[in-house]
Amino acid sequence: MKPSENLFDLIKSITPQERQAIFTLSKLHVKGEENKYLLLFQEIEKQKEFDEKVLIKILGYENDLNKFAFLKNYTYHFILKCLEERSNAPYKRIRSKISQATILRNKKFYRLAHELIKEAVRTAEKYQAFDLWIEASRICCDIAMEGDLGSQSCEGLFTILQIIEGKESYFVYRRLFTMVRLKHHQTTFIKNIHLMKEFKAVYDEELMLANPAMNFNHKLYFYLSKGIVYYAKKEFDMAYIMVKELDKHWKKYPWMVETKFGAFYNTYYNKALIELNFKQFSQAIHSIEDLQKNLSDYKRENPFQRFMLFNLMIDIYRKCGYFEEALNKTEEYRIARETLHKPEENINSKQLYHFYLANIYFGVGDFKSANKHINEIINNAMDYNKDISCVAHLMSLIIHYELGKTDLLIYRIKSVYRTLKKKECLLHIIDVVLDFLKDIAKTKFDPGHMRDKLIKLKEDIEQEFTREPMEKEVMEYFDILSWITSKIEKKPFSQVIKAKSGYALG
Amino acid sequence: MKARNYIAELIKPLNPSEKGYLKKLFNAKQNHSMLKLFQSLEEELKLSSTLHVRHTDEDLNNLLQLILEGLESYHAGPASEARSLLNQIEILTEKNLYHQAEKLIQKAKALCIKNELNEQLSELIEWEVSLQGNKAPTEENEKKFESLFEETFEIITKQKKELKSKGDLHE
Repeated sequence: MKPSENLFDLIKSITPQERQAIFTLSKLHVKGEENKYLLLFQEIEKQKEFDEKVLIKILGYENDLNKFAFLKNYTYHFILKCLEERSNAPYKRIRSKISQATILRNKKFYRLAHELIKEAVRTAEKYQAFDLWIEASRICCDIAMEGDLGSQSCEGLFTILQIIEGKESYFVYRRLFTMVRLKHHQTTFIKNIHLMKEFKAVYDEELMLANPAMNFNHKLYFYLSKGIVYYAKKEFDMAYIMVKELDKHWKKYPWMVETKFGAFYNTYYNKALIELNFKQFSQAIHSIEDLQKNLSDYKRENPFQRFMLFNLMIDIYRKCGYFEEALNKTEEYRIARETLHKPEENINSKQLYHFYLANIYFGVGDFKSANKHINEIINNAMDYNKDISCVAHLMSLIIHYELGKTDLLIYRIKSVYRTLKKKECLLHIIDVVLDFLKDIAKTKFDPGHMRDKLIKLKEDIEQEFTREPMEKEVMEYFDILSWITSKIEKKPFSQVIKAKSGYALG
Repeated sequence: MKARNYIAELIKPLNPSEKGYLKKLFNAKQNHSMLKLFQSLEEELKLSSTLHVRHTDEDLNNLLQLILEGLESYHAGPASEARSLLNQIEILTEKNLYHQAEKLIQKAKALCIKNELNEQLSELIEWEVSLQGNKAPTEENEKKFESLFEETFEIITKQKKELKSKGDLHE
């Protein structure tokens, strides 16, 4: 990405309130007859796509491109400075106090410097922001010594050592969480999960550091990591207990939500996800709505978090068979995705988006559109989540079957088989499905024997699910048994799923 | 913090360029009442070292806060620059501009390594871990995570060592 695009993207992300602050602060920097960077800001605002040539012409820099490059760079950093100035984030406030105390210390105003740094220490302690806490405590001791303010004026080196050790043990959990999350994102339900060292570590881990003045982050990542492992092991009862523990944790430390919003969001996202797995559909929808409200109440503007809630909502509709309702939401869904920064570059969101759309279109019987979205995943090798990639390949075969494309089906069977072998997923199911499809393709869809073949296919798959429960979990992404049932009973796919879920959309 | 106890000793030794910068800042923020108060205190302190009782505590507190913020932006050193970059990384991340945030992290990391700013470096690595979490969960990323955590534990070892040598010095 070119630096110019950075400026363009930054300006496009500015809210009206931020814009006003930028224009107010720009008055501090007026040099000469005009403020060129505000002009540049306004011209970029007008553009739908970044066009540097037009900007150079409008601002009259045709003969001085170096100056234009300088202007762009200056404008970019000026905007960031303005945004920083108007931010009231807790960590920013602590950093500010530390910087101010340091300036006063250099000017030898020790008493005021000490008051400021003590405030920074107290706030860092409240938020258990280890690095800021260590830095502020260290500077506090230096100021107390230099200003001869007495030994009572600083926490002492032993306390600082305790904070450093607190951070050290916190990072053990941070690391575990990062690693289990990564494994979990590669594939949702991992075979022989208990044998993987990261999962085993989390599963066996007990919480270290009992001091509540220091262990907020420890507990947070401890419960989050355990929650992932229980979820991956399909121990949803235990995963839900972890969510409940986290819920208590957030209620005990409500001020932490501001600084750890990502983890707060994850807690309640996981709650909805587990409820969905419990098939408590209305409760899951309620949890999503609560979280949407929280995003607004806490004024969080991260579009990815909003988009992921949309995914979850669509997933609920999908699992309950309400494809028509989900179809009515596709426009909103598309808009939510458009608000992401460069949605095409976000593989996770891209894979989920196309997969869910393929499912919705499949559910309403628009196989052509479903095929289009499945092809987006397959042809562009969107491999964020391996399970989804594998299911997408399998779905492509079923879509071809539904479209009656026998010739293409034979060709695709070979390619899908190779791909799934390589990815080492759905190997048992795919064998059964491929045998069925090969047979069908050969006999040119003989309707006389179709019902028997479908019944056999269903029995074979059920058998494979018993033998390989992990494949059953992966196939949660596409309810193949309901699809076969719909073919046997000659009922719409959505009707079979609706009956299975037993959920009436309120 | 009572501004009345500090503001006189803070304003008096400010040099002309600091005072000039502060006035320009108050003007830009359209904080005319604070500008007026600052100018009247400047005059008062030329004649006496104590302040008139007529200034309210609230006004003096606001002015002290603004002076401190002004001095903070006027005096930039490597540590305050690193703190500022951390603030900006937080803002860019919230805006979902991850690529830009990563660029700033690398810039800030270089600054911290050069100036041995361990705490800021450790904060930056935690941001790097968070941003890395948005990428595809590949084996390559797994290795990247491992190296980031290794860096953090190295910093912690360094911090402990430094603290110990400081403790020895005090003894």
